[in-house]
Amino acid sequence: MSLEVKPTTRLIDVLRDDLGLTGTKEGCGKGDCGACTVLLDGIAVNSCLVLAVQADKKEVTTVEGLGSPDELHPLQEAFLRNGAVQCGYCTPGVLLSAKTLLDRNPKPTREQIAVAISGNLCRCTGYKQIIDAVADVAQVIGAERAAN
Amino acid sequence: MTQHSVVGKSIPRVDGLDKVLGRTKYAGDLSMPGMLYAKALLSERASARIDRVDVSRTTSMEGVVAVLTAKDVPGLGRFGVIAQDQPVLVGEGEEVRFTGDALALVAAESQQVAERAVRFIEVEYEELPGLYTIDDALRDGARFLHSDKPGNVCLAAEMRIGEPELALREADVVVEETYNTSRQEHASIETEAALAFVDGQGLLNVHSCVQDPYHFARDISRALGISMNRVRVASPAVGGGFGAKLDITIQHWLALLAMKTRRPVKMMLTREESFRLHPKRHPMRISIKLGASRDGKMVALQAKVISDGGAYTGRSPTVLRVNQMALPGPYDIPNIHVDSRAVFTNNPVSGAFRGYGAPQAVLAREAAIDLLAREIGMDPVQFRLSNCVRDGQKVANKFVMLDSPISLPQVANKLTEAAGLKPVAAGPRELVGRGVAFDMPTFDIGVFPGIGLSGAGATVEMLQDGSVTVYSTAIEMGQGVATVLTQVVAEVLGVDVRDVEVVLGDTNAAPKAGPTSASRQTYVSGNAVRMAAGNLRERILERAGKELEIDARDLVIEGGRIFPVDGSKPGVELAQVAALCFQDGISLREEGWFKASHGALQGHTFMASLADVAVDVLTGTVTVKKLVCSHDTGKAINPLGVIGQLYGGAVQSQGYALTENLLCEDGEVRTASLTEYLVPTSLDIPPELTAVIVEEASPTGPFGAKGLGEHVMGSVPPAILNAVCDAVGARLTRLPIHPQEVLDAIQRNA
Ligand code: FES
Ligand code: FES
Repeated sequence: MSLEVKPTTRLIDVLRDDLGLTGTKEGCGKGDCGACTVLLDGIAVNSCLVLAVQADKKEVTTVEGLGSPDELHPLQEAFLRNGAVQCGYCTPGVLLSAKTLLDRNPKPTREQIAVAISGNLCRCTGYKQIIDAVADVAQVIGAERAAN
Repeated sequence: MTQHSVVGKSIPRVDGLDKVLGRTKYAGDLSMPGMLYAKALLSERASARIDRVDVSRTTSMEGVVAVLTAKDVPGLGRFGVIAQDQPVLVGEGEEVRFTGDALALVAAESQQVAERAVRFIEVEYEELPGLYTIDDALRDGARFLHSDKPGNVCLAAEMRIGEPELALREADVVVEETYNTSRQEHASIETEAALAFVDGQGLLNVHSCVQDPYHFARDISRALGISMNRVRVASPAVGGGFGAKLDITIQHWLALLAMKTRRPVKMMLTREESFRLHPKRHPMRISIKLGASRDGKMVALQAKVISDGGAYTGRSPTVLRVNQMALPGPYDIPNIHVDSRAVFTNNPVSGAFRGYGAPQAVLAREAAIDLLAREIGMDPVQFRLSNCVRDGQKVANKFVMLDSPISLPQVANKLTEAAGLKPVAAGPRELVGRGVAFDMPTFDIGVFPGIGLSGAGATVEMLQDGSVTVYSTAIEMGQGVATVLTQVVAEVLGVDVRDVEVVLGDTNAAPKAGPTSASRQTYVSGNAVRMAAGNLRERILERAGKELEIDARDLVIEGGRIFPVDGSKPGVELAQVAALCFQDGISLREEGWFKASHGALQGHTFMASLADVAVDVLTGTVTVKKLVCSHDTGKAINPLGVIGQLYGGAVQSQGYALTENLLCEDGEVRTASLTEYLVPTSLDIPPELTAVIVEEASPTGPFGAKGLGEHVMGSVPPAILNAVCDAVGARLTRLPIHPQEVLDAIQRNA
């Protein structure tokens, strides 16, 4: 899609205000919390620190593009199953950080998962069930690869 | 034991799907056509008289629609749950008391204009001597922050049982220590946000992330001089609360702006504003003295508590009382004297935070108990268990109604079982230690008249097609109450959880549920919903009985069908009966009202935590290697959610113990960002984090459930503190545990 933006507009504002994609959250506006994480050409970025123009000709993935009610992304399903969601405010950002990890490293260790989501603050869950959920998906991917 | 089909099962949370899809709407996601953006001008000083607020350069700015100052505030102009002493806006000639006081509000066509406009408001301050510590506030001759509160004492309260002075004189062993705790910040990832508008009927609508909609409606109506039935407060999904969203921060401003402009107005706080505005956990200084006989029987507890309440009354009085009542804990201590004071300072207002004053008490008590056990030469777990109150006994605290069995021995057993052996030192640079702490979380309901904790209502309605809607003003802020209420209703009515819709948080849709705090909603609203659903069930069965020509008492509902217990007839679809009721004019809408008994804290329970830590002898850094929480949760309605509460609370508690401290200098918040105020990240959690559930049914909770949300906050911090003391072999007395103090302690001991 094409969109005209002011040179000073942040990516998060274009997503939320111009496109109505409010799944991406703002928790600090300073790069500290990760609630605004989106993928830019597959790489996790804080959309509060990225100018909209920097996304020119790039693919932006937000939580809205991750899965649909009928076809959840395996991470979304695993988050539900493992109790990795509480208030849900950090969830979109964490999901995208986890996705970019699994896309590059389908069989991460728990430590690698913890590192990958360490830029996403969650005040509710204590992270354990989030790590469980990501590890769950990694295991499934691993098993599928082994089967093929 | 009765078999349940839904209650007690780990099911994915009912609001989870929307959350993982990013579809859930939080207050900051709301918008309306013609919406204005608001910004508040906060005080630059923590202690000053306002000589002048000049908005003349702002009013004419393009895009500015309204600029309001104290002169524009109708009604009482002040708010607060206990005392209405906090001004909506501070006017000329009046005093600002902390940097969260506001002087003016701007509503503009865009966020940028609103932000720019507040910078053009000119303010002249006349500096007043500030009171920035409890010692400043209590010093002889200190000025009074509130003229009607001499000595800056917000509340002084005493608890006296037996003859504590005598008992301490006669005790074989006495230990004494002073503990200091920090100002903890909730740091919900969602900052405060609200959207307000006056609708076509003249009703003031306030949509905001709040933990008690009826209280907000009451406080707004009083502050702005409108009757309560002209105010609707509705909370969308809440992005974490932990107590921070129990009281007004911005909602009164939005209400005022909407009334003045007659347009929708929205505000979302920046992280820095959020740090400045909402109430924090009370920093406390607790001096405690414990006495015991040589064979290890505790005989007396004496404590002096001073809490920093900040600039306004907020919730200081009730937090102080909870603190006081929490001090004796699960132990049988015959002689007690606690002398407590909450004082006013020019710091941020202190208020509710997960645990509501209890964690500070538990820290002091459990740390001191370790000193006592060591002095006597007893194992800390054994010492605690041998002093624990027993069934049939009364605890010293007369407000506690011991209505469920004393499960602490089981809880402690499970704890030590899960913890395994004490670790051996991992490396030459490391010292390791283990700490435990016990607690009897006792929140709730009924004991404080006036703040509405006692009653809770809920409405359950079955529609013609057999689907069910639950209306409640309990708040879903992540803790899982929507799922709990769904499971309770599905269980009672024999329907699938997918057939139950829960509508939460709207004063115009549901009866008062009281605050979503005090770990009370599973208990009170769970009971209310269970009653409502129970009545509904009876009515449905009666109609079905008529249809099937069977006595209603011989019928059951299961899987959306009604049939005779003995299987003598095929039965009928629930939806069909619902349709019949509709035809016959039988109401399928029921309200349940649960009222806890007044004058006693109902719903106490037991919990114990254990921590293994490693201390780096060169840096003083503490790493929690293992954290085990064992908790009697009563019947766990959704075990998956229960475990999540325990993990989340444990990690938040670890933050409180090790890193979290909202530093204020001269009343100004110095750590107003998430890089300066350190909440735990995924890299900080213990490699072994275990939660164990003991399910000793509550005789009065729904299906035997007890509250649990806050409980973990009590015993985890002292378990960590005790573990560090064990590792370094010296006393530590301050939260958060600072590496420098750890190093000093190691040196002292060397
Ligand atoms: S909002 Fe972007 S990192 Fe916090
Ligand atoms: S679930 Fe609430 S912040 Fe993560």
